[in-house]
Amino acid sequence: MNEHEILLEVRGLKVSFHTPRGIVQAVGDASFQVRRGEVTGIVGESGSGKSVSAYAILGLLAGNGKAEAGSAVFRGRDLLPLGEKELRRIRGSEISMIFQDPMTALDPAFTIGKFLTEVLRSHDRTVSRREAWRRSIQMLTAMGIRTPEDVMRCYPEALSGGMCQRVMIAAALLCGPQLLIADEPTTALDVTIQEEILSLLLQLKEKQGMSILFITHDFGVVARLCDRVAVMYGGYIMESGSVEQIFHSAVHPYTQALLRAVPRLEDDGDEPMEALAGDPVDLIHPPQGCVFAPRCPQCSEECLLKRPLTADLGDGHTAACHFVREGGGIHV
Amino acid sequence: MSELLRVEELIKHFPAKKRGGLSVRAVNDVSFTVNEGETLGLVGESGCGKSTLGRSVLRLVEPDSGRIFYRGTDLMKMRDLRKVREKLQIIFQNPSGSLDPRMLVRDIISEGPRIHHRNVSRQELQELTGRLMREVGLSAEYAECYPSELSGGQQQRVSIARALALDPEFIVCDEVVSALDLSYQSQIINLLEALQTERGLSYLFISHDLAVVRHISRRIAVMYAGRFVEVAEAGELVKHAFHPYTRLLLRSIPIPDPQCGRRGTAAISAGSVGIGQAPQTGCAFADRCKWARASCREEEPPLREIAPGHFAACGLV
Repeated sequence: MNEHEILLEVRGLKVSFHTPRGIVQAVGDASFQVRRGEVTGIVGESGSGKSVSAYAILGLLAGNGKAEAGSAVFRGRDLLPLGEKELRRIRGSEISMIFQDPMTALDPAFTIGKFLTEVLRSHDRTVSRREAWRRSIQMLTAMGIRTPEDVMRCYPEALSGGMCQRVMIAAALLCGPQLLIADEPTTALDVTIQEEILSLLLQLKEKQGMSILFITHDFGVVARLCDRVAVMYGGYIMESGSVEQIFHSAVHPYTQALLRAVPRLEDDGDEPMEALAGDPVDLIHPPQGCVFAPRCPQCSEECLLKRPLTADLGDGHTAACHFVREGGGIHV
Repeated sequence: MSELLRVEELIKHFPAKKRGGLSVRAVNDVSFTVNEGETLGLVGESGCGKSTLGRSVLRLVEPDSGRIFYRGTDLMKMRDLRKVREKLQIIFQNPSGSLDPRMLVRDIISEGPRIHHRNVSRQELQELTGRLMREVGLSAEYAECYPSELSGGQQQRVSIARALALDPEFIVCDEVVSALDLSYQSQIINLLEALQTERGLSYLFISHDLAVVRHISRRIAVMYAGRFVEVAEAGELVKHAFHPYTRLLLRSIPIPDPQCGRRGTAAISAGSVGIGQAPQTGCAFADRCKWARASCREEEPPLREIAPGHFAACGLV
């Protein structure tokens, strides 16, 4: 197994939703990859297209949404043209997904035991109930739950949010997927519980070589967990690179502004917070040029007229900004 | 700085849903003061009682017992709160949920003055609304909009304008930036701080995000299971936290820097992984505390001053 083998490669993804108000272009052009044994983070504000990109990969878009262009190659196969039947075989067993709110993702009418054994047996009918029960207990134990038998007999309402998310992760991992897509899995949790879930995910990565596509708006979480980061805004990837490149040598004005706006504990509050003026992109009428241009402090005429190409800055660092190419990057 | 609001021994318990169940002790003997022009930050995890406390202080949730002095008058003894309501306002977390979807922005902002000052003319109301919208940074064109036509950040500005309409002295800010994106979050914090300087407002700023609370507050109170477990000046609390819960909270906040973000995988703390409720006797944090002794499970530690202006409720003091 190749260490840095690319497990998932998304290229030129474009997703639109047809709504009564017009066509919403949720993702204009997104390219990113997840390597084996690594965590790739997609970070962005609401409406940036980060979740939609992930949903599109697994064919989970709402009925009015469509992946109109691009490819999502997972282990040599493009997932976007696949039909529902083929996708069902991949979902859960090869690629699993966990969601923001574990409480609503669990069916309140099923005990955890019923839910977990069902997950296993619906993917593989040859697994006996007893075997499914045993493997579920094993998986809950691996999630750091000390009383798995008790949890198996509980209904979701009896469990805390952190416990529910552990159950969801257990369910996602039961069939041994190669890729876990996590859509803001800790946003609804308290920080102390968030830290527990993050260290659990880190353990899974380090011990089992799990690959994770992690969607979040929180730069603190990105720093803690991710190896590579793609920063999204208005449906486009603004900048991507290793976590060190993004945090310590970001070149895109949007990334820089966002990082300055992150509230920090050591900030004593004497100065006003760094704010990003303006409002997010109108996805029905996206700007002609760079989507960030209307809010960008460096905006030039070219930025308003022409969409910037993604420049390769070397070592896997890319940025889509008209000011960046002067850094000597090669056009892709 | 003179004292604006003093809360003493406030208690609010919610009765158990099932017979024989335990009542929820949302606010359990909480006392604090807020001075004129000061921000008191209130942090704690979900379900710790911070929102119930914020609402109890305004008697939007009726406390079981306790005293709430606003400029020396005990609100708990008042029959008609209407006169003080003008001066004590609240802003909620979710702006889209707390603004009436069928009212225009201008009507939302002017509703308070319409109710409290019956003899105000329409023109005066219009002028007031215009002035408030300018003050919170909303362009005049939004006056004729419905809340759903505004972005989250703009909606929160409407909530702030509505709270300011009656010229209050004290505002409870209940998770006002939690639902907002990063870029809006700092805009709204800066706006609240500017308004405080101009109008001499006092805030009770409730949030689960210690970094945000640290930025805006002079003093911070940390709440756990219905009680204040630590109160100190903001910088002191962050640098010299004493209570094990505050320290866990500080350690759990992910640092936005990959070099210090990787502090190794932390041991899973026991408390959240079992099923059960907070104990009813002794320190509520004892089950999650690695320093807990037998005595911690027997006696509930009171809030004690451990350094000038720094209070902690821990059996290890």
